[in-house]
Amino acid sequence: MAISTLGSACILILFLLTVATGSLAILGAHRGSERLIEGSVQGMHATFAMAAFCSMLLVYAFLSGDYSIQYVQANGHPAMPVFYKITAFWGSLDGSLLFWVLLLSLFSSLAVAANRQRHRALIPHAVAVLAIVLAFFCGLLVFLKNPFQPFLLDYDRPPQGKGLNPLLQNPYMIFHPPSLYLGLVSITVPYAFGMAALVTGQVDSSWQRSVRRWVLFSWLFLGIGLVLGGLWAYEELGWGGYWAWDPVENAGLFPWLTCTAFLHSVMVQERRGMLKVWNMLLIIVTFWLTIFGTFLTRSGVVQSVHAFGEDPQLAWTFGGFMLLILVVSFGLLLWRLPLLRARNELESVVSREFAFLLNNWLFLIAAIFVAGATLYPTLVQWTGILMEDFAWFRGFMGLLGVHEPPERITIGPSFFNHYMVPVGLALLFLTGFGPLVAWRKSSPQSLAEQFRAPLIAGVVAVLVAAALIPTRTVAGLTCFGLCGFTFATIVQEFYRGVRVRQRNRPQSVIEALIALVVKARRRYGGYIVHLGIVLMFLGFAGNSYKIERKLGFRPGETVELGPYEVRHEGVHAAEDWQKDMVTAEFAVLHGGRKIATLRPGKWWYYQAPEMPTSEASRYMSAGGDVYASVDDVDMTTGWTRTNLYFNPLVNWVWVGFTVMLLGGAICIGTQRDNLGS
Amino acid sequence: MALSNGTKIALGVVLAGAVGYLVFSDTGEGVLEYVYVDKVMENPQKYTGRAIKVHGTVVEGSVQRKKGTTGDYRFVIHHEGQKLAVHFTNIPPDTFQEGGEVILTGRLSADGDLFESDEMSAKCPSKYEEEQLVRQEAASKKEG
Repeated sequence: MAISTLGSACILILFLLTVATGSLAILGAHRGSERLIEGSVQGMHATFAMAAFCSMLLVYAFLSGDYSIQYVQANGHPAMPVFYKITAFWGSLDGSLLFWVLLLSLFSSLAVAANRQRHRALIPHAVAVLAIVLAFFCGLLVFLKNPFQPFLLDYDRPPQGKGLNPLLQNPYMIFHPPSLYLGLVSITVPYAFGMAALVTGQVDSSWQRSVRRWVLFSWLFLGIGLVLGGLWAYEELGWGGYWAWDPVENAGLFPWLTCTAFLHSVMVQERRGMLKVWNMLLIIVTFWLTIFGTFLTRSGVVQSVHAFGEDPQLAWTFGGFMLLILVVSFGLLLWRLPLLRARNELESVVSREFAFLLNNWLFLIAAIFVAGATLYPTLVQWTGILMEDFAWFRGFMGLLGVHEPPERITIGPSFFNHYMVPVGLALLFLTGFGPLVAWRKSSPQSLAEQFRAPLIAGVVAVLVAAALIPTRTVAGLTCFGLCGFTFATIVQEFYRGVRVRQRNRPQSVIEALIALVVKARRRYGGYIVHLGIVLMFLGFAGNSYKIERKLGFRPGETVELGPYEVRHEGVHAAEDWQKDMVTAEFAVLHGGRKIATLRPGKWWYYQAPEMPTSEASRYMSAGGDVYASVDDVDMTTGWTRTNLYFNPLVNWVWVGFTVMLLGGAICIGTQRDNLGS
Repeated sequence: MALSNGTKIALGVVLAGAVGYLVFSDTGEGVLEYVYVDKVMENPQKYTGRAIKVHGTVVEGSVQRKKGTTGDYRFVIHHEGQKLAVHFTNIPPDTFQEGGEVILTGRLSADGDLFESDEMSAKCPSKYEEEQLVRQEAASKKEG
């Protein structure tokens, strides 16, 4: 049997399995039948097995080069390395939906197995929600986007595959999409348990305990995905930056923001029995945003460098599903509102609860702002189209004061930065402020004691930055000051913890430090995450001192770039079996001494000679990167047109992120105090 | 004990003040009108004197690049039968090519016949490219 036939049949079976699983779960919960519930649990495992089989079939089709399948033909190529043949599985729309189903069924299966005994009452409802979401994505595969769709007629069929875009054949690109998917998909599990808690009315903190680590997991992988995307853009695209508020990158950012909010606000619920409704709201919003993000990137409603192209049918289907999620989730939430009343009230603005609340507002506002601004140009465009096509809509908009169809607009990075930089700085402040204030309320004495050292550190940081850096920006200096402040609060917490341990028993500082982190992983893991955040913000602060020069120069000539000088040392041409290469050689000088050589180049692949790719080159140091990309080279004179950048402190973004990852990993391994708290 | 009304009002004022300040200090340069070439050429006067984004397809054979300068391109973009001359002073992205779609940011000259731009995003014309690749491969097979 042809792979396409077998694959299509398996996709159909997969879809039916999800429907059966969901039905069994709902029936089982309704009748209270253990047998039916058990059946639905087994159905969930079977769904995963089937999804795994479908995925293996698709990978096999790529490896064996079955170009009778449209998807394989469009994304595969015989000459591609094996690794890229495997990753081509999720390289484009149809396959990425199957990949999505594979991950979701895996997570569902794991979550159900892990919580079966501990949260028996929640299981059938959680299974039902998971199965419904799975059924939606499988339905897309069956009815709209079958990755096993063959070419129906033989003469339609091109001789071989087209291959993956050369820009995407990059190691970061192997890990960037799957880690974003891992993050986006795994949010479904906490959402399902949240909904199960609402349906059963068991809305105490137990559902959260079973999902907190899932949220942490999603949060970690969303973060990894975002940063890898940034690194790819920085190294591959040659414009000297890593974040440009592209809609597809934003789609990963807004659920990350609400996840972060949730991870903080669950602590308030655990400690003080407050914010119950809010937590439920956050998990609903986060899940909704992951679906919305998928919708943005998969349906092509928003213009972006890497959206997958327009598809109105898919857009409407997604739109319907998103509406359904909102109506059902908020319906349940409203119904159970009386059960979610808070045990305590906010007592003071100088309390940890309030710091958390502020943090939550800011994260949620940021998420909604970014999501709104990402979609706004599309909304304006639709309004324009509807006003031109329908008289009644024109009349309706007329009532709102809009008489002419609006011009289409775009929203650029400077808009996002204008609003998001202050929000980011406020959050950085709270990162330092929150851990210093007590639960309920802080006394003036304890405040003075807690804040003295950090405030001094903040002021010193501002003064040092102002002295060292010739150009001064308000945002940059504020950021440095807050970094110093927050850094000091973290050091202070560790210092005090170590002192307490040392007082109780004789220990070296290192021993005490390790014991401290191991004994209270969640707390100190959290501080390590905060430390990572501080380091990342150091990198963001550096960005406001970025120097960019566009120029042409000849071999032997030297140009100035911030604290460095760049000397042209000639050009040369080469070729290999894949491409022609022209490479320029620039010496980086500091104080007249040569410290590095940059070799930016321009490559012409024989496969697509009309579209050369730029190969940027950079000199990395703790102080910043010297980054060069080449546009044009005159081979006779060696004259080279180039983009030169000095990106101060940029590497702290990656360093900080690694620290954050470490802190997250420490937090995630906290089974014991999970149950204890 | 809950927060007093005074505290709540103070919080509200601070928040409103912060948002108000941000909105007020927004120069609006991040938000640009986005139009296709034909829309611009219908009524060029409407679009002069401010930065806008223009979307069009680069006319085949129209690209002239001046050697020995720091980024200086002249080309023509078209859409729905309307054309617009462009003077582009920057380094274009890798995906810029004749026959490809571009979105340019810049200003229309006072008489409305030249678009001065220094910012471009270019889409690779995937359809066209795919066809070409298939054709090339078929041709190379024949030769082989």
